[in-house]
Amino acid sequence: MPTALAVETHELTKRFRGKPADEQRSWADALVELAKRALHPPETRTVVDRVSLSVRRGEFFGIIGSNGAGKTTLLKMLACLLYPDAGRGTVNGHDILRQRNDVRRSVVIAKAGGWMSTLWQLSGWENLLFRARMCGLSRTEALERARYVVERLEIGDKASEHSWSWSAGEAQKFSLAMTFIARTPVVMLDEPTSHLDPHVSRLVREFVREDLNRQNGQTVIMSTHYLEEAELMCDRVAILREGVVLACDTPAALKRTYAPDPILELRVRRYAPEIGEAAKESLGIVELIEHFEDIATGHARLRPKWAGEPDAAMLINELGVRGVEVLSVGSTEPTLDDVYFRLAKEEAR
Amino acid sequence: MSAERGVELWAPVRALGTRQQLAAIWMFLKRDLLLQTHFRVSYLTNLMETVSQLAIYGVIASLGQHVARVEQLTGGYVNFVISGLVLNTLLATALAGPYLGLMESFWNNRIEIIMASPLKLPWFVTGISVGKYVDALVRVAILLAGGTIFLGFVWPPATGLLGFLVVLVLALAATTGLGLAAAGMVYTLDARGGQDPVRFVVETIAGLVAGVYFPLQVLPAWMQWLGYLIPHTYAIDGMRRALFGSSSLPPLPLQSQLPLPPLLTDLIALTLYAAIALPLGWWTFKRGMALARSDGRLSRWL
Repeated sequence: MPTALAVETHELTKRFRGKPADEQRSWADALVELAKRALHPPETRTVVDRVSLSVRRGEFFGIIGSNGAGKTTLLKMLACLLYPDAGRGTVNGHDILRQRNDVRRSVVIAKAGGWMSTLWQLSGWENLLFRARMCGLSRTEALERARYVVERLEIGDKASEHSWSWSAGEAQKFSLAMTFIARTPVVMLDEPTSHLDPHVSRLVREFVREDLNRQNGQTVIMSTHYLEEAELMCDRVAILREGVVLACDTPAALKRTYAPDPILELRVRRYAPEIGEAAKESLGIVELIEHFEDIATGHARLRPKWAGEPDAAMLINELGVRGVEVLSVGSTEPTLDDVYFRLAKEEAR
Repeated sequence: MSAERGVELWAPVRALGTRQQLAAIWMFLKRDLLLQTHFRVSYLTNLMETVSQLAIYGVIASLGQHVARVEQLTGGYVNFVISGLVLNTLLATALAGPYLGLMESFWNNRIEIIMASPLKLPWFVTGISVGKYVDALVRVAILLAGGTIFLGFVWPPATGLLGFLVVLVLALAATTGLGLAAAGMVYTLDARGGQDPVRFVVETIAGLVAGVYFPLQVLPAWMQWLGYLIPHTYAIDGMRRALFGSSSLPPLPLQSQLPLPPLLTDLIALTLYAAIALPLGWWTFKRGMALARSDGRLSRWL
């Protein structure tokens, strides 16, 4: 009987010992290294630290964080590709420690840079069918689903070609298609749009949100460091930093809690990052988020944050002195970016 | 897609029954054949290695005509060496197949996508090794056809076939155990530099003292005893005795010390070897895979 939760973790923890070995080393070198390790055990670093999360069935759940935050490690533990050191978890009601085979039937995972995992000697169809048969699909089912996914991701014209003829975006789409071919209750996507151009990113996002999540009812857990993407797609997000969950809620609730006030925004011209750095130092600005609209002309939107009382007039004056033309001054609603930076800053303190 | 279809999806992907697992193995085989034959000329040039092996031993056989002791072996050196090469090709595949299949999956970044599927570990290891056996069978065919046509290999009578098959099954089981242990070393030692300690030891001994190219009895006694460490020695001796009869083959030192027919000694040794090596190799392989998933070294990149 399915439980109400698609995924649940309780104090899930992963630690790694030492640095990864040279992948080309021989067994003789490895034996010497093992002896050295026995005498001087390497340091342990905690990559995922007591993470407790609950993801409801049918939810679109985001895990956001910078590189090295532990997003991939967390997803891999949930997919049984990595065994946790402590804590427990369930996927589709199955224990990730004791019912691994049931978990593998319940979840698919698409990794960042997964385009590298297609076999270049095989065509798109062959890659897809190979994956489908690994998941126990009959040939008819495999073909039907392969056709559907290929059509939906707009890669039909490339499916008969070998992967070396694909662009990076097409290869990433094939890799995602291989993931989506098995319809599991839970879908995990690790930075699915990290190598894609804006058009393909949107296509993938639409497919995941509309087809998998809304129509199929599949639970989606997506890790990303694109905060706008998370805000756009996710019902709830968990913010991860150095393996620790800093906050977990809906994007709206996170903004209400951590960035409730409208944020000052200046639209400027002839701006350069060095000018911003200089202004920050002289005016006591703790953070200056820059969104460039045109680097060549220096068109940008600036969001300053002061340690104390905001002083927009001083900033406008300072920018003017340095040759920057201020086009407009207004206030804007906070985004997940603002939440993330505030939480990260608090955590760093 | 209807809402009902969404509800239906809550059922997990079905458990893979024997039929589905076999279908997955067939896909592995198909994939490996596509990979092997992708560069056709390259594949043919690889097979030339077997052809040149055949030619080398053909020349040696012609020299051996002048040596009565060699000429007596299993009806001539050609029969002796080709039978040895054929079995050694199959045993080499059992030994290296799991290791090479695992390494290919690792370097091609396929290991995670396979390990994340519901395919069980025994089927996984079968899948990654099965293509290697097809390649081995092509090489065996070249050895037998080339040996028969160009070197005068005389096919043994069918009466010894059953004995040969028993030897073959036991030898493959024993060597597969060693092969699994070798593959397990990839992650146990975290070493992927192209070799492992198990294969290093077994292949070094097999090349010299297993009796593939020359009778073991021409070596010093201590070296002959070294040959007893690996199943190849019993397998190759047993195969020749089953197919060509025992009369022309001198007994191994072990056989002369036991009051049993030489072929039975080989079969007992192979049975014991398989009974120990197969579970031990499987345990090592499983432990290596578990270790990889514990240390995060399963795939090339985390």
